[in-house]
Amino acid sequence: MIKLHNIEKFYNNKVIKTFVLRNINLEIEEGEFVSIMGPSGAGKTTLLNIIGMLDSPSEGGYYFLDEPVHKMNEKKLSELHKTYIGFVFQQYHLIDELTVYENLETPLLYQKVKADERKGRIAETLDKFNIVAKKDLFPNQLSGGQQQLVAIARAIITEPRLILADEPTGNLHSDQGKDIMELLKKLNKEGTTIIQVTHSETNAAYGNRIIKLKDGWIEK
Amino acid sequence: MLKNYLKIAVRNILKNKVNSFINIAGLSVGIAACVLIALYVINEESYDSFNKNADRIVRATMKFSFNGVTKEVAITGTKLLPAFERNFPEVESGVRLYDTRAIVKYRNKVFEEPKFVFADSTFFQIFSFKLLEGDAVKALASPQSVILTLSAARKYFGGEDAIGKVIRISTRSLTYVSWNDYTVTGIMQDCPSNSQIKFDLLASFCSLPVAKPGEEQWWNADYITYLLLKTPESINTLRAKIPAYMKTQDEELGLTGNDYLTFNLEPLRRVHLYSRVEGGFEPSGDYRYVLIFSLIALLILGISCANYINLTTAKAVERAKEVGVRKVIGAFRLQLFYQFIAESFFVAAVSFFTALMLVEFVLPIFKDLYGTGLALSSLISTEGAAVIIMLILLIGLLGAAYPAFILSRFQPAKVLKGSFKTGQSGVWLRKSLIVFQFVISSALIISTLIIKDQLDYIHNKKLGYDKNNIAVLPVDETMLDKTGVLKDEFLKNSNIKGVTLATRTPIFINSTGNIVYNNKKILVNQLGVDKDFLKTLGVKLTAGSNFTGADTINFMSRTSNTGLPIIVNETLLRELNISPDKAIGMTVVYGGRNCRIKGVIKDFYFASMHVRISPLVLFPNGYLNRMMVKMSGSNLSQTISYMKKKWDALVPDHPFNMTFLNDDFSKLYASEGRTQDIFYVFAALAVALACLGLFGLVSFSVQQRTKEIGIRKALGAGTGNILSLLSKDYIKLIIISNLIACPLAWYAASRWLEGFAYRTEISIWIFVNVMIAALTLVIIIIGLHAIKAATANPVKSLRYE
Ligand SMILES: Nc1ncnc2c1ncn2[C@@H]1O[C@H](COP(=O)(O)OP(=O)(O)O)[C@@H](O)[C@H]1O
Ligand SMILES: [Mg+2]
Repeated sequence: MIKLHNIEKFYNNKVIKTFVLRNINLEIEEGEFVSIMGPSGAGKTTLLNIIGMLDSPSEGGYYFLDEPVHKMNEKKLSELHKTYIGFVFQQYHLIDELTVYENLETPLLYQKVKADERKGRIAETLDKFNIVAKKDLFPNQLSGGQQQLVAIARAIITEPRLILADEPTGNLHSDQGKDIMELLKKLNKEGTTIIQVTHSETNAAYGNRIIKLKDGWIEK
Repeated sequence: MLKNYLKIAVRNILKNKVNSFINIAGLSVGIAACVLIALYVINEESYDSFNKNADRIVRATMKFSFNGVTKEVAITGTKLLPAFERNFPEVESGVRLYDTRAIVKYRNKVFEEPKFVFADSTFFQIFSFKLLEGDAVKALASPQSVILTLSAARKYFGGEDAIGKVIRISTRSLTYVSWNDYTVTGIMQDCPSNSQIKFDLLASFCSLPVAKPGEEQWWNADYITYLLLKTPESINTLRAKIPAYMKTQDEELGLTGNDYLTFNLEPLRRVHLYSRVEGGFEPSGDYRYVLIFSLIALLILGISCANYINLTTAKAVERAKEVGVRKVIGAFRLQLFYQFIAESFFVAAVSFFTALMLVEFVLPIFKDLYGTGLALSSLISTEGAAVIIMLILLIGLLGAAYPAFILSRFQPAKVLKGSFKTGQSGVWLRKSLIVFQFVISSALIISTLIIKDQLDYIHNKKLGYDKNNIAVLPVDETMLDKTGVLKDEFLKNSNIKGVTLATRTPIFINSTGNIVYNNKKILVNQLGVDKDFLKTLGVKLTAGSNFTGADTINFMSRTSNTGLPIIVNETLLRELNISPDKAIGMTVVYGGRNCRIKGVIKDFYFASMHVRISPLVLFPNGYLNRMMVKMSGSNLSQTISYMKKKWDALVPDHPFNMTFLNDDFSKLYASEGRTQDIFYVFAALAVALACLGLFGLVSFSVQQRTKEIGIRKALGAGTGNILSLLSKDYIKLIIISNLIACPLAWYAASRWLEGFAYRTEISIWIFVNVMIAALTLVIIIIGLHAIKAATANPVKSLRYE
């Protein structure tokens, strides 16, 4: 599903060129549950963003479902991104001005899903995540765990084939973290490919493969 | 989708209350100013367009030249219309109007009617005034017929049926004195406020002796002539034919040499705004003011839009996260762009409707300044709706375009990581907009102050006569025999210092004659006065002596044609090259009669300060139209009621319509006064809006810098340091703005002042003071925030990050 070929990422800070990712070669098959680990500043988020098409590599080739992502224009990228990829962040990143229901609805609106179908899918998702009672609340009225739940619900509501989660439990208590990991595992079982960034060995164990990053290099 | 956009818009408005208030209040005020001006412009532009024949009606103006002096006036003789109808196929028909005043009596009701007009019977065929009762063709066909407007009819007859009633009318004119019975032959709707022709009573032109067929004259111009042409285009062919035709009339006109008399034509709809020819129905508008006010309104709108753009771009940073999230969950750039545009339209629309309510609220005040024709309903038309929608779209786009563009370009990966540093985007734009706002505000204030200086200058200028505490009473020929008694009765009151009669007040003398001396002929202004004129008004005699009662009798009797005494001003002597000490006793030909210069007076101002003082002749006339009473200034109201009592006892036929000479003087500068008022309002608005915007921006930047301020405080910075830290940038901008505004305002104000022959010097202090005031204001605005930020507990503000 994902092929990274000699990916390099660097920033030009005035005179100095800072490398963040060095010579990344990586293949991830559909249905995998991959955990990326490494110390802070290793480049994990950057890698995840490149995979999620939110950022572009400075060098190298990226093939998603055998299509060359590095050669695409913005519109095509957006299109690909929104049909195949769901994102989950450590800071949840819900839209504060919208209710839970509306947060779930927004991605569907962007995909121009019809009103009836929208209603059905939101209801189904609220059910599945057991947050029906919370649907009219605003994000700041929820606990961190609940917010992350909503964020994941929002990520999967468009039925993406790939979920990218950047330290999804980083801000949560271990109990809440465990719930989230169980949920991701369940989604993986149902066929969704998952790539997560995590610091915790326990969480990493939920996946079937661990990739270690250090100073931008993949450790063998 | 749209619903989602609007939801976000509404919630954002509610969430950032201060910000939204500044945005919506600012925009509404800006739009309201625009709408008001638009109503004014619509009203001005709509003048006379209610006439169905408007594009075929032209006003004739008379242009003539004597001894090299050329004049053009909007009045003509009675002959123009019949002669043109006979000789030019282009002319379909026409109407002559005589704009005068009259005293009207019905039973025990007596009123002076300042808007009394005589018109040919063709009036209703040419103009589209609405006759409610009576026959449009016959109503003005016979002598001694009169049509009343609805309000005039109510005034005289109450609810009674007016048609067929007989009223007594005395019109005031040199050739037409005495009371006559007029029969009411029609009732019409009141004249539309956007008509150049306005009157309360309309009498048949054939009632005037001058209207008799065969009595028609080219000279003796007192009448306003409108022609109805066959086609709108024939104005040009007709215009071209007139000079040649008028040449053939030279003999009848008694013209020789280079002297000529001809006529020009003005399309009806251009008269109100574009004609500079005097003598027609007054006062008319001026397209230059329409342009200036429109420009100012647009600038005000610009200032409020600038506020909106500034606050939105500043706030954009706060919404970066939302944008990032939306992108991550699948928004196209364009969809985000639409979202911001939709929000902006929403704010624009809300502001627009707030603005309309504001307008409805202030319209009554504005009407006092600009006439009653203004109504919000004049916006209700396809054009009006189109303009409103265009304006909403324009403001919406202006306000949203930049933030939408910037925000939709945010890289979600950066924004969400928090590496997006606040405030950098759009700094240049924001600074330029602040400069723009303060350039406009300062320029408006400077202009306002210069206008004020000039009006003060005019009002404080020594006029050469004393205009204070002088009551003016209109007098007419029918009460000439009573004026002597009135004068004596008035003078019995110890608070009345003097009484004089003259053909008009000294404020505005525009009656002209000519003087021939030494083969040189000059145009002079003339004023008929009695022997008490100089003393009552305090006009200074520099040589010779004043008129006596005998002079008046001599002048009136016309028995002798030589040695009639006149008094002249110094300018007249200068123009004739007569030295003042030799002038007394010298003979000049004035109005065809040999006259002797009996006295010389110091120049006084008898026209507006727009023009230089010109030659003036005082002559001892007996037919005098204005009584001026000099009062002591104490017990004014008692003195006035004393005069009224005497007046009502002696001339009960005549209403006691007293005015003050001072007020009449102010009326000369009514349009400048209104300009000043408008400038006051707009300058205040501009400043208020600019400050409002600055307030919003500063509060935002203080919020952004809370942490920095906290650290500085922790390190020992005082309130003063914080204030200077926050205000440094703004002060630079304000100084730049003023440096740009000064030359702009100076240039505009100088151009305006050029219109005055007598004008004030533009003081450098105006510029300095405005700069100081602007800086003070800005420091106060920033100070309010700085004190709050500087006195906050630094530990608290640091914990936020
Ligand atoms: N816009 C940027 N400009 C310069 N350096 C950056 C930028 N974004 C990230 N970095 C650097 O890249 C490195 C990797 O960052 P990141 O991928 O967020 O690390 P991780 O998620 O592994 O903690 C860090 O050292 C960070 O400072
Ligand atoms: Mg990271």
